[in-house]
Amino acid sequence: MFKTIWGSDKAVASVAATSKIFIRGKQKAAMTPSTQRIVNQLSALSASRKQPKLLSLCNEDLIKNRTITNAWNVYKRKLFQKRDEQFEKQYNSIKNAMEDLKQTSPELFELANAKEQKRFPLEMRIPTDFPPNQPWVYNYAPKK
Amino acid sequence: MRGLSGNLSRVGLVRAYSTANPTVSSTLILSRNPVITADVPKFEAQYYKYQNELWRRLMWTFPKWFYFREGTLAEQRFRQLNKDPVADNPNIEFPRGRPQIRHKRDRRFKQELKLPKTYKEADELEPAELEQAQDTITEDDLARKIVPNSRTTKADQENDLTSLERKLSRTLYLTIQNGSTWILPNFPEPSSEQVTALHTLAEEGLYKIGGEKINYFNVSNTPCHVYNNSKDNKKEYFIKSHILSGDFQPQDKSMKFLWLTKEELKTHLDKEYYQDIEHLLSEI
Amino acid sequence: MFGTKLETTASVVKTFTRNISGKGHVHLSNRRVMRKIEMGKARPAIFYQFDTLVELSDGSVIRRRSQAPKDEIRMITDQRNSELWNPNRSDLFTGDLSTGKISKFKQRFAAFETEPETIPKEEVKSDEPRAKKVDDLIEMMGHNAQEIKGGVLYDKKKNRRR
Repeated sequence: MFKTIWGSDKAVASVAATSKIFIRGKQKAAMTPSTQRIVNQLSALSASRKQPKLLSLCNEDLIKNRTITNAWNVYKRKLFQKRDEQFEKQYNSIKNAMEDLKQTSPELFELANAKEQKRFPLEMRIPTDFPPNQPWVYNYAPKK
Repeated sequence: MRGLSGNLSRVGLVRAYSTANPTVSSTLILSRNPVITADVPKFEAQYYKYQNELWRRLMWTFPKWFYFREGTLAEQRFRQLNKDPVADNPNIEFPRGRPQIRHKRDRRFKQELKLPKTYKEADELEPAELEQAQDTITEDDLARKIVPNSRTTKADQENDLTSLERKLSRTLYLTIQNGSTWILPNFPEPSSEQVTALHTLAEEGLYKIGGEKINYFNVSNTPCHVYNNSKDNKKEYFIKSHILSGDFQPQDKSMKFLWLTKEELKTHLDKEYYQDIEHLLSEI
Repeated sequence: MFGTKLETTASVVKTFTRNISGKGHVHLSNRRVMRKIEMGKARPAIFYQFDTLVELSDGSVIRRRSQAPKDEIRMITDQRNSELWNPNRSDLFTGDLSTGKISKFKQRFAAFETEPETIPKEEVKSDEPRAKKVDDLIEMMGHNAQEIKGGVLYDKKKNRRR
């Protein structure tokens, strides 16, 4: 089959015996489907040949990015400060209310201070991005 | 300790001025939690867009061979929508830079993919098919395009302040009209001999004025605030609760009620009262 | 509290401790000291994610990011539709769900349907229904089948061939 320029048939045969078998296209390893599945998963998880080029910013872009980050940090700091102030006011409110209650009515204070076994209600919904077809459920039929 | 004694003396002073012992009452802060996510302020939206673009640029290539098996129809549809990028050729000059293609993605840019649609758009169907589809289409065809409902409801457009469906992204608070002023619903202790707990006062009072059809959840038995009402000589202890479903139906036809956001409460309530209360109300 | 969007920067949330063996320690190489990552040269794992619209059973729509290549997902049964999560609603339950395999089978072979045994809750605890099942089994086995009472349950692991 291999008609080479240099050798006799014997030489060709010996070369053929020791040389690689050239296959057209990629050499795909023989794998069981389960191994193939695992190889697929690993290849999807690994970073090889999937990572884009490292982002290199020019000086102007770098300055822009830093300004944006700073502005965001300032904004967030203000927001959290406001929130923390509100929390502190809420805490002081509760504390004052309970101390006041203690003075006015010890009985009510005991009732208000009693330990509760309470959990989040089942029907409390997490807000979605768009409202449902019925924005508010008016149907309330407790089974008791 | 000193603070406590100071408080006591202050209370003593108040007592000296007031005519009689103030009546204990409980005020209910009934809030409706937001139904949809908060509206994003302009600066935050811009920042998130910026960050998302950076994230997209640094994202790994989509492993198409993992999600789409070669030879399947899905993979064929995907391939038709996402054509391969122009491969690198050493003999060609690329004025915008030489492409570096790995797994059919240029490493220098973000990867933009189009996914095959599971629904059919009206402009893709031929006229004959369109007519047929319009005849036989059912409202709940599972393969139809998702059309999200609008974030503003009819109640928003009509500005119906008594509706619970208004301002879905904000918290609404129940307010009752008391004579000429608007207040948060207040329920005084019925008798001085037998005391009922503040949270039960609030709950039962609410059912009395608003009907039984309220899905009520009390956050805590502990009051969150105390307001000394010198005008009516009563101490108001605030109880926080939520309405989860159902409706507030005023039992008394003459009673006026509103569901208001924090800013609207500012305009409707007494200035001094609101300033005392405002930290208890939610910004969102 | 409500509605905070993804606001992390390009870096990912996963962290790992270096040179310290802990619960999440991943041993990738025999090198004791791991290479220092320069500032700005970190390459965290950022898998490709799509912006997906998920429509729940009550019509509300959520925008979320997922790795699966789906543009839009529609949920048929979820929290908003379930009886368990909405105990105080009377208008929810639609028993006419004919999309499942079992209900389809029942529809097709409705002619062969036998009356279902309605066992009230108190009776389930007693031995009677269980005894009834055993009798059916013996009927199927033949006339001279004797029920063997007592004995030890066959232990597969103990009797396996070593």
